[in-house]
Amino acid sequence: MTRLHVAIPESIDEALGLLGKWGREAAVIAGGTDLVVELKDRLKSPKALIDIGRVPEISGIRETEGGDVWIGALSTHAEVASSTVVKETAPVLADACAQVGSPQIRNRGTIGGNISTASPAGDTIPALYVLEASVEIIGPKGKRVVPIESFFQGPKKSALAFDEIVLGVKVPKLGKEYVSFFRKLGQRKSLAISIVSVAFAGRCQEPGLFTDVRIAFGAVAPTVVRARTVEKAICNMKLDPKSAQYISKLAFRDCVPITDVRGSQGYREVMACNLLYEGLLEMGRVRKA
Amino acid sequence: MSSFTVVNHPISRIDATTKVTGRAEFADDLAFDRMLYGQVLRAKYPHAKILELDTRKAEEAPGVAAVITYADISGAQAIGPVRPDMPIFVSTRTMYLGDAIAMVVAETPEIANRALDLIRVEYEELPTIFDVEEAVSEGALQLHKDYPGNIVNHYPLRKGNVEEGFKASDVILERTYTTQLIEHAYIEPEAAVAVPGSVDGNVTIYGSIQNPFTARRHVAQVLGVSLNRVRIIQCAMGGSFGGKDDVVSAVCARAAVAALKTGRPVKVVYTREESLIESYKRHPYVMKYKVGATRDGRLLAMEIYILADAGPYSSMTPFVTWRSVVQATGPYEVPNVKTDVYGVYTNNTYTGAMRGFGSPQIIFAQESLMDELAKELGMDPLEFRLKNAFKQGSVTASGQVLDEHTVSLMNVIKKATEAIGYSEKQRAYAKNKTARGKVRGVGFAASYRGVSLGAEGVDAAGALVSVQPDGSVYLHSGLAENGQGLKTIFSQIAAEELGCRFEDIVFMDTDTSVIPDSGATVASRSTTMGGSAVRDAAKKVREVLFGVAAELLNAPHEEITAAGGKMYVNEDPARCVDFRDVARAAYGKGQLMAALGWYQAPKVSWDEKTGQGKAYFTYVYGCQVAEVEVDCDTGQVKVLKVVAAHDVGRAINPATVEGQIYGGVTMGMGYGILEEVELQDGVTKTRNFDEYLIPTSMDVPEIVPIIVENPDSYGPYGAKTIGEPTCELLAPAIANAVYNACGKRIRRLPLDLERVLLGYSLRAARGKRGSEQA
Ligand SMILES: Cc1cc2nc3c(=O)[nH]c(=O)nc-3n(C[C@H](O)[C@H](O)[C@H](O)COP(=O)(O)OP(=O)(O)OC[C@H]3O[C@@H](n4cnc5c(N)ncnc54)[C@H](O)[C@@H]3O)c2cc1C
Repeated sequence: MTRLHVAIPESIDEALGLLGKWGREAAVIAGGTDLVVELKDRLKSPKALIDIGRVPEISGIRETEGGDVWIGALSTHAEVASSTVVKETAPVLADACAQVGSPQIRNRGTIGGNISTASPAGDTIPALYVLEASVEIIGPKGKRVVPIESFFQGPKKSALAFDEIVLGVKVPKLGKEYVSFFRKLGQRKSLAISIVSVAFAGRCQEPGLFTDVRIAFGAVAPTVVRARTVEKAICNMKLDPKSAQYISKLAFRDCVPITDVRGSQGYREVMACNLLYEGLLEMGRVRKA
Repeated sequence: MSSFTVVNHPISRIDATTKVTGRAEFADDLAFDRMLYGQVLRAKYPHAKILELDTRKAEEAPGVAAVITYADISGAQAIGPVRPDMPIFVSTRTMYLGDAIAMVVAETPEIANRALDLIRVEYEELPTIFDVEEAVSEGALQLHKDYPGNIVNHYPLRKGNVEEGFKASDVILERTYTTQLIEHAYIEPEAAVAVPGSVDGNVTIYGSIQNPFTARRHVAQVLGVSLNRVRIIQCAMGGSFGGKDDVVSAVCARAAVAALKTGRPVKVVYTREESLIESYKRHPYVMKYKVGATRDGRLLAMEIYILADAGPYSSMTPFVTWRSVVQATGPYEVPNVKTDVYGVYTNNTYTGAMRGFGSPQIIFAQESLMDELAKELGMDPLEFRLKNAFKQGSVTASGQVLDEHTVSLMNVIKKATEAIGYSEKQRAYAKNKTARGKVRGVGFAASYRGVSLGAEGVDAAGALVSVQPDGSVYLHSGLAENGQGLKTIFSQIAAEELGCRFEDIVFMDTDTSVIPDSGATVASRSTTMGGSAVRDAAKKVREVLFGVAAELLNAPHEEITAAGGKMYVNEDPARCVDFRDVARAAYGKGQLMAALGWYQAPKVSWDEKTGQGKAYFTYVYGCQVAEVEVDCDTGQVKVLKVVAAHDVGRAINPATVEGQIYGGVTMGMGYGILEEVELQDGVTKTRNFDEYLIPTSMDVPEIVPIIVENPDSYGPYGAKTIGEPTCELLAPAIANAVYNACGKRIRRLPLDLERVLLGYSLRAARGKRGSEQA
């Protein structure tokens, strides 16, 4: 009978040592909400599991000296969603985490796991894109910092090497003059993987006028994508219900969705536009109120 | 207030505590000494010839006790409720992706699982057929040589003359409706343990078994032994909904063959993926309706042509489609009817019994059609229905006069629609048309439903009541708890009839060695049939006890009454004796305090050629109204509120009736907007609940149950039924509400996001499904 070794390192160095020892035969496990499914389906058959749940260097949420927010990889979706700092300085990420799965999944699943899995439908990722966050990685050669957009290379493919661990994400704070939102479309109200998701952040000069607009879509391309065409368009005009309708129609230009059990390519293209439109409209309403 | 002591009261379920505290024993909780575990190898292709099967390597693997194949079966190779056409293990040809080829039996599930990879099967792929219309077309591939045209069965129904009916009609409408493949989604997948008996060749099986007697029959056939060599004991059920019948018989049979071959207990437990691939589903239907009416809204003629996808095995298809042919016109007076329902063989996953049993499909069609026709006539959908609805003495499509029970259709429709304010809302929402944003709508659907099996077959059930010397009671029943609350209902009936305390009754797990074969726990028949048997048994015992009580109280036998644990003199309740003391005294006198009760359904009839006859001995009526919100930008439908009015005859337990309504409405909502087993060229794409989406607690709307009671002349205390009617109405109510909200008429289930937004599903166009494009 084959045996699965489980190691529970107490420090990041110990974790890296174990990774070095087992090499590609090892799998890092945090909340296990993605990995255990893959183990069960025999999509992965590691010889060893390295449970990083007790590594102190990768937990906690705090403000850095540089004025950013640092979120440890082990932070659960529930922790991020209820964190006061995150809610105040990166509300779009708190919103995204609050919409992941169900209470059980939010209590176990981690932000590090969500990033490392590198699914184009991962809900924290569009939020991290519009926050222009960066991923802190540690490996045998030391630490490196990768901008979030460079981290993802395709479905389940990322810049993370087999012997590296995600330490956390560094999130620049959004100023008070920024407005933002995250919306996801699923078939039902909870436990629904996104058919399409969208995150928005923009600096509001005066009602309807935005600069520094950032928009990212999930589940419409091999990785989460920034929608630069719409971003530019929004910066150049006054946003009202009519122009929002026009602008959001440009969303599909940056999307190259596929057809799968959750939705077809054609539907996803339309949804990218409509989800953005609904979001912009709602934002307008909230601001007026 | 009720004149009953126990019946008609909302008593808590007797199995509630063990279930919520995790102490209920399910099949997978059982462990026996030296127990082995079975893992099934299934087909690689939906239709293929097996050229070679080599199990040697797997057999030699350490920890493997045996590999079971068709060659190990000494009795029947195939089983089926109507036709024995479903193989326990395929020998020469696979017919769908869930076909079992072999089962490895090993010391642990993991060893068995790994050994599956060591089995070598050589296939030659065969041409396939997945579309019912293609299957019945000329020159189509023939799947079973004995059933030309791929026809499993054909039910015609002829009433009046449809040609003349259409000629006299001012308006004629022709519409096609289609429904999808549906999974029962019981929370506990298939599980059973077979234990070899101490007598050679005997076997006892414990399992998640919907119908112990069916499983016993099939296992005995496969083993080639008499029925009394197989004993089935039902474990706690983690849901069934009609789903743990044929497939579980196969699981039990495989476990039994393996247990007898190895001489050790064998447990087989499926994963969700295995369950979704192998287990049978609810039939997808293609339904062509032509309807004619006068300008003032009187129905004159209906012509109905239905193809039901059976998959490769007949299973329950002949019974499921029979209910469809009886009820296909809906609860309306139609003088001229021509209906043809066909079961059709394909290489899709096979289909069988599921809550509703041939009614959810036709009700989706007929209730969508009623709204469409009302619109065509410029009439209000409610007014139009009431004009044609069954009344006391109406004649059904099969020529049955409805005069032996209260025909309460109008009443339930009025109650349900008034409770939600249907008429005002319907008019208001119809005006409110925008192309974007969120809009609301209301819609409803009504039905009549034959109770129990009807002319499907033998309909009788038994129960055993046994009072102990201390006044406590054992209750055995041939119909089995499926999670619906049967134990509680039967205990209530026994307590009411005996006059003992409800708490003094212990309901025993169904055991085929104790109680007579009572048929299957299906067709919403338990309360009517099994409940009557319990009542019969309890009455017999009570008569004995009354005799003893009469002596103790020194009063005439006829003047004794029993209730709430006391027996007393009718005129003078103060002259009483405790039920327990009566039991003690009866025991002391050597009296028999046990009795077997039996109930046989009233006579019904059916003419196979004309589809005429008294199909069922009684009917229930129901109406559900849905209020929805449609997001015009995404196609998302939110069900906001549902009112469900159901005539149950008599609510033996109003709380469990409401429970059935909440559950049935939720399942109906899943059918309406979420659920679909997707097959792509016969290959199951939705293999777990991340892709096969059922409603979560977050999706359940506000549900308002309305219980209507018109006691029936047959069932116990006038009780009829509630299990299935709750689950057959919501999908069309939602479809009608969506139309009311945004003017989109969707004729294919489910009304998922793509279909509501685009009118069709781009996603489904991937697979070859001709009906989707129609
Ligand atoms: C029922 C259910 C519902 C779900 N719903 C959603 C949803 O709505 N939205 C959504 O986005 N996701 C959803 N998911 C997916 C999953 O819960 C999330 O992606 C979650 O964030 C994963 O985190 P985890 O800690 O459980 O990861 P794990 O399963 O522990 O790990 C996932 C992968 O990342 C690697 N990994 C984890 N942490 C690190 C690290 N620090 N460094 C390097 N590698 C690491 C692991 O080796 C593994 O390959 C759902 C999952 C389930 C089972």
